[in-house]
Amino acid sequence: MTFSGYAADIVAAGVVRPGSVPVTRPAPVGVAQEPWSAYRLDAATLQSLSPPERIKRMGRGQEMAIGAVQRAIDSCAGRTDPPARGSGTAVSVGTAWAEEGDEITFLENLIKLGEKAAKPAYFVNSVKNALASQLALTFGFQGENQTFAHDALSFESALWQGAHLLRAGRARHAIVCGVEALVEFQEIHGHLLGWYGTDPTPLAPLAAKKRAAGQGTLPGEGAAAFVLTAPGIVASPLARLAFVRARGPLQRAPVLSPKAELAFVEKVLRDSDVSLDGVGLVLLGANGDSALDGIYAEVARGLRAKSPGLSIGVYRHIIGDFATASALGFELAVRVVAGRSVPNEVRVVDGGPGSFERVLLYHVTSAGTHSAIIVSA
Amino acid sequence: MNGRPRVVVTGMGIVSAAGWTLDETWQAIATGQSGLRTLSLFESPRCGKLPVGEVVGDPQTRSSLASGSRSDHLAMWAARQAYEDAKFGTPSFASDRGAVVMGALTGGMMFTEEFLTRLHVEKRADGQHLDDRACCNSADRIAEAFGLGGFRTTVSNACASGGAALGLGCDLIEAGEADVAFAGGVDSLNRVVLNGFNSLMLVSPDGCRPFDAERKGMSVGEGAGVLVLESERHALARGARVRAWLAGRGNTCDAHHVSAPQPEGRGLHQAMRLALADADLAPAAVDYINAHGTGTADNDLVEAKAIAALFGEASPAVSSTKRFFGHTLAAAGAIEAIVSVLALEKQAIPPNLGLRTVDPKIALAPITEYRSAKLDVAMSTSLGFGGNNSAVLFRRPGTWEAAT
Repeated sequence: MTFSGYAADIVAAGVVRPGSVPVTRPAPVGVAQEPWSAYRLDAATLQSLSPPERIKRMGRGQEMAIGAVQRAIDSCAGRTDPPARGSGTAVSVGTAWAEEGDEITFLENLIKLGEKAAKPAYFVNSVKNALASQLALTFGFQGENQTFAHDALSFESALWQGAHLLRAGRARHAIVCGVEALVEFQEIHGHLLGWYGTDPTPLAPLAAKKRAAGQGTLPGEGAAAFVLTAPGIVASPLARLAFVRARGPLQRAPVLSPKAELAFVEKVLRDSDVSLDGVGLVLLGANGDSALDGIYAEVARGLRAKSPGLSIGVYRHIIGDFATASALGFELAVRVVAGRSVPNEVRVVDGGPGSFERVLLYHVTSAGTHSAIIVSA
Repeated sequence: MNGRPRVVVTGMGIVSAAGWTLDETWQAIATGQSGLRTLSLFESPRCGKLPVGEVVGDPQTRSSLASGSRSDHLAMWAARQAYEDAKFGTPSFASDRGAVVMGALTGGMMFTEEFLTRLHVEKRADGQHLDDRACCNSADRIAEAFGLGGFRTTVSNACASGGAALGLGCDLIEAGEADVAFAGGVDSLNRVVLNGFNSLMLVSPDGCRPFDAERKGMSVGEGAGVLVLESERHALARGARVRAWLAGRGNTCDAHHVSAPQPEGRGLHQAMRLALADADLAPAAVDYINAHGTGTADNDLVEAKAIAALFGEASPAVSSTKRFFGHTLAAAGAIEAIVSVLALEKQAIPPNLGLRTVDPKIALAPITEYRSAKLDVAMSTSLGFGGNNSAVLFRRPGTWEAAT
């Protein structure tokens, strides 16, 4: 994003996430012997997110997204008017898999019971914009409405688009949301492909002491939503979105290089006109998979070599692994800047107390996608 | 002009049941040949006899991809045509200034179905091809093939995805994020979409007949459309042929119902109005509208109301081209945008194939015969589940003063 100056004000945020400890349950029969663990939202919390009178039937992701947006709207109080119903409020959602649970249910009905068992409600919900359109429907937002479904680039795409709409004068408020709902099918997929480990203990990104069977991460889920306005409209925003960039690889299954990753981060700093010395915290998306820890550690080392006062933090030990986890990392970055301190959810792995007026959020995945977001005071 | 860089179309690629190329597609349109036929791609006890817009032949032989889903092959073939049509030299463009934005819904859904069948019927968990099930794979494949190292994303706004992807491609160029954007949409036939729409009783047993008094629903189709969008300056600097100016776009949400459109078409009306404002044009400037026109009772009625409300009695020529290739879902907005650009180039209006008697509740007179006409401005509209609406507006070269 090559705006001159910063891109948008972040005036409110809301989060829905599971507890910080993975939940273990038996693996599906015929798929694996060992139990599986995941950071999973419990049923009671999920149910509490939307008042029953508002629900006809919603998917897990819809409930989480609505909960996060409602919390963001509630937190506008005292700082700014909440986003208005109507065409002035845009919705921009990043979700790699949306309501895949409903899609799988629809398909399983066809396979097990035959095509006569095709249920329309599951089909309608299986369409990926079911989340964004449900947000529009629930809150009456009739502005531009976009759903981005591009794996680990989804939330960053939504964030870019939300900020762009504000800058272009096409919305007064932009609701930007990143959400992923964990369904059993994704666990099966991830375990079969070797992404997930079976150690039930919480993830320990960049920790000296590795978890047992250190390879692999644990799946998770969650939602984070943000109310954005164009720069300068709200007197005291929580923080400012200064820059966002996300890129994909130009080859399949690329070999990741710490040097290239460090170069990516440094180019982001150059293009955003931000000095590394002005960054207080680099928040890494390390997901506990030791295969990726080395890359993150090298990038952190390279940055600290240039700016020894820099703090390095991680956060995925509280939410696990999912494509739009960076949305929850973004919420933590906003909180760091808003409070000028590091919340408990962030584990600082290097550095110490410092100025937290600017945070750099960096993610890289084994698929070769990477992103960097700069949040400023 | 409002100071933003103009975004022009310099390349196009298409595949659908109506043909594998731009020429084949236009030939089908000009001669009134519907591509709808009985499903042969997979067996379906309940939907097998329904006419569908199936692409006949193996798209993988055209895509040159060693692996991937049917959607990936269709998208890649369309992108390959678009790349060649744009006649990029060497070097073509700076990699990090090249973006890709694809609209997509179902991706490799067939792989998911195969996996679940193995799991539930054969009782074995075999993850083969599962990694290719994501709808974003098509954009990834295009980026890899053509060295598009800049912004990359997949828009999934239901059946309005293709139009929204074109709008986002414009955004990227206007914001200075890219010089070149490959933008479009793709979807392939599979059991979920066919049974899904059929379970909603939205599929016609004898092929779609948009705007007809006796229409019985849509025909599900598949295909891909990819447009090469460039800033006008970038295009002119490399001596590219400009096929059209993507002069305006609008995107709205009804916020009315999860699957049904707002009954008065207010969201679509607003999307068209925004596209006109974006292009700084009055409604009277529009010469042709390629309507979403699915052939379902609600869609056609709502769309007609929105068009009538915006254009009044001076409605431009309108037609739906869905009976040529079916409703190609996320690809529809891109495929029909390409048809709109071709209409400007050919100076001819595609016919609303299948229309015999206009529904008396519809205050439109869609064009039923292929007809020559002076066309300077064409609009393409899309509506999707969730109340998503998009409108894109193209101008013919020579109707504006090019940048110098």
